[in-house]
Amino acid sequence: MGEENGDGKGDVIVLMKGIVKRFPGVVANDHIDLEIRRGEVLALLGENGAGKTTLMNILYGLYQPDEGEIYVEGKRVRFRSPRDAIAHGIGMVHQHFTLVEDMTVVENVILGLRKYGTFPDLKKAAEDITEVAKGVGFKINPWAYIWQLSAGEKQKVEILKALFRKVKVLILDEPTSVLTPQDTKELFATIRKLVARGLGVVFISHKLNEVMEIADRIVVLRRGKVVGRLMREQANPRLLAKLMVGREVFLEIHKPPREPGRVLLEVHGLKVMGDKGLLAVKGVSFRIREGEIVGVAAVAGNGQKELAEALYGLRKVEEGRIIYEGEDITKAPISERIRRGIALIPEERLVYGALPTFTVAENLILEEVDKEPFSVPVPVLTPALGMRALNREGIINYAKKVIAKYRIYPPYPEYPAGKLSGGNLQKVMVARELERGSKLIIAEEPTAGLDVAATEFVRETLVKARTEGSGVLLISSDLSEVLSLSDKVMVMYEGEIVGAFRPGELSIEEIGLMMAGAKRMPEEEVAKIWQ
Amino acid sequence: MAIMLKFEEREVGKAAAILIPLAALGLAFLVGAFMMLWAGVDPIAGYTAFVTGALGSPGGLTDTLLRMTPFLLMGVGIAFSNRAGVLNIGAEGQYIMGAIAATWVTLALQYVVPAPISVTTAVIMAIIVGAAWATFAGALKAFMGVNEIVTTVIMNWLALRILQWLLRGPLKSPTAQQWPMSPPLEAVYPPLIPGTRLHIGFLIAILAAIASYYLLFHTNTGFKLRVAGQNPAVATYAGYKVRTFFLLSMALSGGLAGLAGAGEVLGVFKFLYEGIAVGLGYTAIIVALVGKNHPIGVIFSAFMFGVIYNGMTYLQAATGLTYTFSKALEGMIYIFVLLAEVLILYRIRVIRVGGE
Amino acid sequence: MWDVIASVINLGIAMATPLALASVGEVYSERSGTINLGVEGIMLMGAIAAFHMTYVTGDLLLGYLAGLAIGVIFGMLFSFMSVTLRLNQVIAGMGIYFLGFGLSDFIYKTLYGKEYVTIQKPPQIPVPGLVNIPIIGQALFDQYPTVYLTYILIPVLWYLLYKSSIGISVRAVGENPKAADTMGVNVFLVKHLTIWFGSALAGLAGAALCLEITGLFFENLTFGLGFIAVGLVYFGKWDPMKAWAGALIYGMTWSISVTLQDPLQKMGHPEMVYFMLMLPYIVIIIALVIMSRGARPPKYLGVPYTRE
Repeated sequence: MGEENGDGKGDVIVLMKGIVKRFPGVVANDHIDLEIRRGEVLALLGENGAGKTTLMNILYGLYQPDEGEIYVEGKRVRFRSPRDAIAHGIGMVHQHFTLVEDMTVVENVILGLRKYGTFPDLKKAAEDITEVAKGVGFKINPWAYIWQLSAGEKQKVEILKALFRKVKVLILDEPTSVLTPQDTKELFATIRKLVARGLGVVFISHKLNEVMEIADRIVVLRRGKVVGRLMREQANPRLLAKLMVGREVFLEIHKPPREPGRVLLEVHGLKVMGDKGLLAVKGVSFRIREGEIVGVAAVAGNGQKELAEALYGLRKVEEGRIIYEGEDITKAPISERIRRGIALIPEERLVYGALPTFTVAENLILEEVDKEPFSVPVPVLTPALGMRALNREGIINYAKKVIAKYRIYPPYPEYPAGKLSGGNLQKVMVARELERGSKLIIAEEPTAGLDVAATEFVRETLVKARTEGSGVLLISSDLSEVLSLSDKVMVMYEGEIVGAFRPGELSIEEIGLMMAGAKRMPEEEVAKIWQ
Repeated sequence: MAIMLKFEEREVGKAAAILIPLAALGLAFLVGAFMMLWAGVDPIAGYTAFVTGALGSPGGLTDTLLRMTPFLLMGVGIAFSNRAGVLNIGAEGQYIMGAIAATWVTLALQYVVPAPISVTTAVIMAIIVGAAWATFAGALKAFMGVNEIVTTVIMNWLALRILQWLLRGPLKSPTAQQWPMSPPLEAVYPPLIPGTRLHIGFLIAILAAIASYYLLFHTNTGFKLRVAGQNPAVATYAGYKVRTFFLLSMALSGGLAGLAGAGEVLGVFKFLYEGIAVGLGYTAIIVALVGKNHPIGVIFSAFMFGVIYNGMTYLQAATGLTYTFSKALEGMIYIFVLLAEVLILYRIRVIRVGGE
Repeated sequence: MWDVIASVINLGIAMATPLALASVGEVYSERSGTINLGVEGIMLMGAIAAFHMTYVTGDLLLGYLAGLAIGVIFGMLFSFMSVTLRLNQVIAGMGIYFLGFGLSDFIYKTLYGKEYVTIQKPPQIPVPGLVNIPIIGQALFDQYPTVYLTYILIPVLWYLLYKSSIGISVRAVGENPKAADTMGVNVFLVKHLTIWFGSALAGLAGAALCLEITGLFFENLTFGLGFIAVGLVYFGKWDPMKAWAGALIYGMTWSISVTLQDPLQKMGHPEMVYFMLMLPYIVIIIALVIMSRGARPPKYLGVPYTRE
């Protein structure tokens, strides 16, 4: 792609030249050139793992480049730490917020600032913060603790932190991933305001429609390299998708029709406590039948995670009942739910999912180690203590079969799981949960952080399980994923089901309003869909 | 200009497992030589006494095996709990409580029942009391959320105070002269090799290590225990009762430490006195570390520390230094093992960043 | 009677002081995310350094400074292991303990042989005026130098932790080092400095124990006080004032036990002296159980920080 295609208009604030960053086994950034201009939104588009965040972490001083040069307003700079980057007017809002939950907004904003001296006058600081917030139309209580704030408000605090330091360039890493459609609209309006003030904004995303909406100029990365530079007028979603993935992408999912079967799961008035000691799920009722996918459309933090954990038994139920195949399992331990065929594909793969230092084979049999052929009875120990001897051969043979079926790479049963790529690790998780003949599959963000190929694979696998008769509860912050995979969708807001519909029945705007709590369907109408 | 360290794992293979402790040992002994010079004693004479004493004669060698016994038992126990994700730094207290229990039971039973029954009861009680001492801290953690590192270590000092009190009160020997001690124990461990001090406790320790190895690496219970230790959240998610494994590992670890305590009073001293508490339970933390938390590895590292302990008594006799010199050396071995781990297992690159 | 009570409190506060110093230092270290189990060893090193310095120079102030200095040196060793090399903090801390335990007594025996040598304890300094307040004056204001130091230092450290930009940075590093790093706080520097500071106070605590309480050095002088100091951090929920309160509870229990020793001995139960000495440990464990409800450690306590 020639320079003339992607040439911006404003003055160049930041120029990155020939940036190379290597991590063990991968080149995350391979000779990348980039300029950031005043008064312009630059979109960095690419798949997960394309190197967008790494590049911006280098600009923000968190990583040191192995090669390459950075210029700010024409002057060569070397950043040792974010302090240097901030001093040169660069601010960054990370995808996972970097806020201290146990501190107030004021303390978070003035953290690391020398302006207020050793004994900061917090009242004065709070006034200053409110002033800056007013300038961009934010309403924020400076004395609130971070843990009391919603995701949208936390993002505003992050943006305030940068603006408070008078940045010239603001980097936003996947900023919409935790927002409702309405919050996103508000964010875009803020971005427009900032650009009008002369800031340069870098918008990191893998969502084509958002990039098309907000960007002035687009740079596409693939596997650490720049594969496209264009102005928005030159772009269209098809072209961007092709650049991003390197081949034609069919975003359609083949989903054969399937008549739902008998009721698999019935939830009655379920109430579940969240981590803060407040109700996170406030009396939800729904049904999942065999052969259907029920999707949950909700912004992160509206009780969907707690719901999934309660169904699987990770979280105590305060009130209400869970009926599975006609039997009450509200108080059943996790092991019993596993035995009955309930599976959970957890969101945080390395927290709940996999053991990095254990082998792929061991990770695959985690829940079934007590069964043949993975372990066998031995004299004395088994009758007296219920212990069984591990059967290595049985474990390895099983792993070989699964690895072949799910195309897990590299195909070694004794490979440490921690060295797998994100996509392959997720395949291990999905395989473990589905291969034990699960009938109810709870999938939390099953494609988050995966590249396109792995995403397609996981989606196909879920649809196949549903077509073969399993019930699936799909929780995803990717609304288009929910709408395209699900047979029924329920919208959750603040722990309640505020709407339920079949995909295609409602417009995105209406769904967005419900996700934001601005609108709700009458209860009878919600109840009707489960009949 | 700032300097940052970057760690890159490198392949060193199995040799490192032997290389690291030996390198650390060598370095510590080198520093030890300088310390001896400063203290005005001849390091060559000291180390000569060390080597010939610990390894130079059959009697010395069996004494080394005798010395390694408590390390082996407690090292395996600590390896166990480490695998289950609990750092049991309370072995010292569990060991003291085991020794007290064994003494008490023996004093009550030795003239009442035949010796084998007395010894067996004493050993079982020592295991139970050691396990209970550890499980108490474990239960405080599991049910009340009290940090187990803090409680176990405070309970070590409590155990020492209990020992001091009992030796001056209920367990006091009426004939004790200078140091408070218990009456002599008659129903004790039989010798393993006649004519030496080596007792059957050594054999018990070896068997315990092998059984632990089997339990940890070849049974479903061991598998689950290791999963729970690596990541309790994953274990919960897989349907394991994490709390049970946590308490089980504490109990096993404490039981082995209690058994070690019984071994010292019934096999070595044949009475109870304050001198049994010289920090063997702390040393066992290093033993487990050097043995890579693997019961078979612990057999070798326990032998290494048996050599050090036995050799040190000869070194002390030859130089007039006290046991705290050995303790200082031990601290250095410990720190050098930690440093050598990093230096040998990782390639450390110093990267200079910034400038201008 | 009131005299006895006043003297029990006086002794309790004196005993609580080394514990409080070590504990408050550990609060800072843990607030920035590092648990230092080597406090016991550092206290022992502080004790021998202070003892030797005072013995040689005859100057108490130099003794205190020597304790402080050796604390910093051991703090550097520990922070090098735990922050720079990112070793397991509990394991590295135990290493520091072993080293301090063995080395301190080895040094003493090498320098002084096996005899106990005593030094002149610092005088208890009455505060003019305040000392005349009935009971309180005698209990609180006729004290050793480091006691007065804690009266001022601990409130100051409390204020610094909660109200100053330094405190905000320290707490942020323990709660979310990435957040602190992205806001330009030098996470590594904060961790190193808090560890050095905590270790310096531990060294000073050892000096205070040796110079003011015992007046001589012997093997294992601290008898677990360093570990109790770490326990008090949990008791005090990482708050300097509450940790100090915990130290006072311990000190009072100890002081009562010690005061009862004489009468017990006279009643013909010398072994009960040792029975009484068990009490402070039991009290601390019970206190820990009571206070642990809802205690939440700094989120990144025990987790070494790295950017990549």
